[in-house]
Amino acid sequence: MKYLLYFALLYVLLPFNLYIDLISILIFYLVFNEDERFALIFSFFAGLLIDLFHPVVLGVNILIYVIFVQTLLYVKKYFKQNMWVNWIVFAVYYLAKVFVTHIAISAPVRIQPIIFTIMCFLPLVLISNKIKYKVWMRT
Amino acid sequence: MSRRQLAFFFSLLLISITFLSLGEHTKLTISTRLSPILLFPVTTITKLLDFLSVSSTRITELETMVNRLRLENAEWKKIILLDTTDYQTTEYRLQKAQIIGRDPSNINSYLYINIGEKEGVRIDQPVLSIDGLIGKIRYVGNNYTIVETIEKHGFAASALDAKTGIHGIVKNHGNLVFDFVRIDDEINIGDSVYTSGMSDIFPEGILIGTVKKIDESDDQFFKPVYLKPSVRINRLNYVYVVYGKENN
Repeated sequence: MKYLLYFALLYVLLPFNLYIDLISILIFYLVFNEDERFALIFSFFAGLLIDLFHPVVLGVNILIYVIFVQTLLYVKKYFKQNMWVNWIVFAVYYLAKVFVTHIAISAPVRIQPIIFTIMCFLPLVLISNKIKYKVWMRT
Repeated sequence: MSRRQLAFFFSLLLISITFLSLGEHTKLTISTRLSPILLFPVTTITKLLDFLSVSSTRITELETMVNRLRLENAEWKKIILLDTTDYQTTEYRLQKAQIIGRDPSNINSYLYINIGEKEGVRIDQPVLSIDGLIGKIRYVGNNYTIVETIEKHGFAASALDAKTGIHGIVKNHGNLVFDFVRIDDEINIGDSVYTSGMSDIFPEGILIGTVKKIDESDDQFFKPVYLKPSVRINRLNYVYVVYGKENN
């Protein structure tokens, strides 16, 4: 049921993703809080939807998301989760994703959505954790 | 990381690389086929939002248009009614005049209008709008005229209640009061009060106002009846000066 909810959320967030990349935040959140295989499928599907919704090069977002999610799944066991570490990891992950996307499709880099996304990450994750797990941050 | 997980990752990776390596035409075909299915919820919601946004803009435009047409309609009605009055009443003639000034000390007590002696205006001629009585001419200049309105303290006109036929005098004592209504006279809130014609100044049948309050009085004979003027003087731009037989 909760997986369906994530997919519904993906559809809700998709039209607003150009202004603030909430899908990346959602994927990052899933990597740390849900089943690894689901996180991979979800990132694949999210990439596919983004590629179809903002058609530039079919497959590029799928590839970037799948690789980044798999990387995150691999490295997450090497650091201890806390609020600031998560934020820094997200910032690095997101900036790398933007950089790779920029190289892959020569898309112009828009600073404002990047700043908004990084700024919004922490409050959104904290609120989600509080709602779902009754704690601000899972460690 | 389990082998299974790794295999899963590589299969997804393979699919995405396959997508990337396809030719432009194939990519376009796949996109065209997949989009309506996978993006159906998003496109539906986006279309709905667009529709709502366009609808709300359109509603605002239409509301503005309706308001403008209402105002225009009201203006046309006034003109038609005045023309009809002019046509039907051979006894009186109306001349339209523009308000060019107001008394700054009491903005609704005196109006300055753009006709004067040249147009044959005389002191005490009644002035009205289609909504009712405005007042009478107080001073006539060469090319302007001062109108004393019903909102001037001390203004008076003979009047009658159209429903019950009670006669009295409408006076401005700070409020517009229908004087000399006897304690036992039947008069109701909402009744319209018109000029009675029992004076040399105002012809009969011009609406002055409606009864808004009837006070209990200690007076043995009369009860104070308060009127709401039919004309909002501060909203006027034009008035009509009434010419009687002698003015014609």
